[in-house]
Amino acid sequence: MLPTLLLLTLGQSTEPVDDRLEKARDLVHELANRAARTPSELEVTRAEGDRPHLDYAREVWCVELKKSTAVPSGRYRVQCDDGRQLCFAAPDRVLRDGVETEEELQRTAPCGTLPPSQLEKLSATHRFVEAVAEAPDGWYRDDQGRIIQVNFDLHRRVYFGGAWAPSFRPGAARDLSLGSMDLGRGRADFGIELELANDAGRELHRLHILEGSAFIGSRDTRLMATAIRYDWSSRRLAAPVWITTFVGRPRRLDLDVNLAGWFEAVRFELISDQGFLTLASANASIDLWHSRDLQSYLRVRAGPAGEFDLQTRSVSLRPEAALEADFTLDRDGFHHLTGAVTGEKLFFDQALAGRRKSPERFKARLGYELILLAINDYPLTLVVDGRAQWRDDLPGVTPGWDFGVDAGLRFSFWAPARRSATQVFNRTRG
Amino acid sequence: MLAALTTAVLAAASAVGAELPEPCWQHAANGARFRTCFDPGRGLELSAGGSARSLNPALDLGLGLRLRGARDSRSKAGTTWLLQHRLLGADARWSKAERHLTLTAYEGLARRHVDEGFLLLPTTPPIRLPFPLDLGLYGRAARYERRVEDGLGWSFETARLAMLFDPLRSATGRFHLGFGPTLAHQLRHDGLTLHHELTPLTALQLVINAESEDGRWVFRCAGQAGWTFDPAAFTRGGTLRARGELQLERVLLAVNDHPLSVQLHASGAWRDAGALAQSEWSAGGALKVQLFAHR
Repeated sequence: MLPTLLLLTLGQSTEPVDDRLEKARDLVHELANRAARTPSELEVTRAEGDRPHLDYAREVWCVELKKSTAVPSGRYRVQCDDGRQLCFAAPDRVLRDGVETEEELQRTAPCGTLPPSQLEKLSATHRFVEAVAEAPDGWYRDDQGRIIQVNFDLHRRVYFGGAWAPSFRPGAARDLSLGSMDLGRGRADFGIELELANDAGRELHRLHILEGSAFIGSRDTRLMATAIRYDWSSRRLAAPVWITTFVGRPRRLDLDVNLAGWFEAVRFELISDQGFLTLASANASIDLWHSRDLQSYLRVRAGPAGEFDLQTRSVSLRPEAALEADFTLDRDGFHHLTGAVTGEKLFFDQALAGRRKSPERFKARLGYELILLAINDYPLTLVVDGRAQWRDDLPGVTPGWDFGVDAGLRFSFWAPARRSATQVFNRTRG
Repeated sequence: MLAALTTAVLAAASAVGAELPEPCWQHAANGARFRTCFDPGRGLELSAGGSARSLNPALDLGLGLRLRGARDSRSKAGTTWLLQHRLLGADARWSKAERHLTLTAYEGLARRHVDEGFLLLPTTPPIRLPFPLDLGLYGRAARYERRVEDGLGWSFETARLAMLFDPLRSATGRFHLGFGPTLAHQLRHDGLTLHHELTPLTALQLVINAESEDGRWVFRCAGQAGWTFDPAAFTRGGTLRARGELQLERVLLAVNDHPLSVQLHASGAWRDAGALAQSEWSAGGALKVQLFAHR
């Protein structure tokens, strides 16, 4: 056996004969030693270049190999590649300064035990190389074995935040010099966002619970809070709407509209001392575009709402229409662009001194949210918003535009990895 | 042997049946199928349109639930009851000058169709004479009408019942041509006084219903004319009142197999409209969606 190997090694190389002889001798010794080793004597060699990562989706074995200075317990998580005759061995504890500590690895896959006989067989045929333990989708494990979340779903979170929110209201006759600027205004936010997808990923249900913003520190305090909002998007296999014409020969026309729904209950808006309570809204919505995972969308929606006017103690009909967008700009969910243009008009409202009948509201908002850092894997985001509003429903207030720019921070709990997240083996992100 | 033969014949018959095209369905080029037949006598009706009442234009809205059925008589062989109902009807008319609301709890028709109609005279021996008419019943219950421009007045028809004779004798519920005497009671409040009006078989009721086989064309006509009496002053004689309406519908398209039709209608009343028992006419058109009008 050995002479055969020696001959093969010598015959297949172009190096000088002495070198080849030396290498062949080393190889023969290594193979002979491997065959003789027990698992506890099996040495884990250093990886060339970056350490490979164990694959979370494949089976992992927990074994004891040769104790070393770096891994005194000799306990490793092992995954083998029979094709390359390699076994990746990752320390089963977190390292500090390259030395194993007592801290356990977090978010590892369950590991099985490998019978000693099988490990002995592997030791004869496979080389054991230092590796990094596996990490679930959307998480990254560094060389020390510590785990960090690198992919965030900001559509599933509980958030709160604050922002500096100056506002500007142009003066009469569009004379900017007569306008008023309020630089001392701040905004506080709170909200719970949930998203539920079906198994096939063809339906996405969104829930927003107790979302609200309060603008404080200026002449007119503003509050906008919604008890619950629900909407959904779906990716259908067949056209949801078809029209059959019966003029001439009957024909069917398929309309591939992404028809869905949008509902809201108990929305309260306070502007100074004027309060408006939306009892319920029901809108039909059409996704003009949505991403394959349905998280990003551009849609229009329209429908009726019932609004209770706290001043007149009367209920009005409020048709509303909106164009809304929510884009997650990158794979890992770090950049978000949102926007909305909304129009509302009241009907059957009771007369109120200083306000015309059937008043209107028009609102526009464009926002950007960026994950700056994560504290204990909870993201801290930078939020920048631009807002514009026109309304004539405030008694005694001259109808007109007002603008606002908000810049602040938002802290989010939960924010798990996105459903589209994959395993991160090499982290090249800066 | 016989059993095997019967099984084979039944299997062949079911195979032939499976290959028969469904008469009310067609297939688009992409293979998707769609309905081409509807049942105008079934489903939830929603209509919106406009009409002119004595040259005053107004917006009309309508709502109602239609049901239809047919049932073979258990006691009389060769007899079928053809049933047609309209429940919870609501019709509104709105303009700057007019605000009308009409609510009807029930309106329906039941026609007894026999394969071979006859009259049996109880002579000895009995004489059997051909009778060329189907018999039927028309009923309406709880019809409330309120017109805001009439002040505080309103009218409420408690019940109307008519026995109908149908010379058409159609075997399907798509065609009815019924006429006959009617019995009715109505309350009319002119804002000051409540009046009872009784029609003791002194009026004639007419009901016509005709539909194309695919249900895309519908013609309806209903009317009554005759004398009503005040029960408290019966001897003063009756008042001639008449009312009638015509409807023509054509299904233009269907959305998700729910038909949308255009409707032309005309109606007239002689001393019978509203709480003040006025005379009037109106004509207009509407678009009507009939949800679940499936056969």
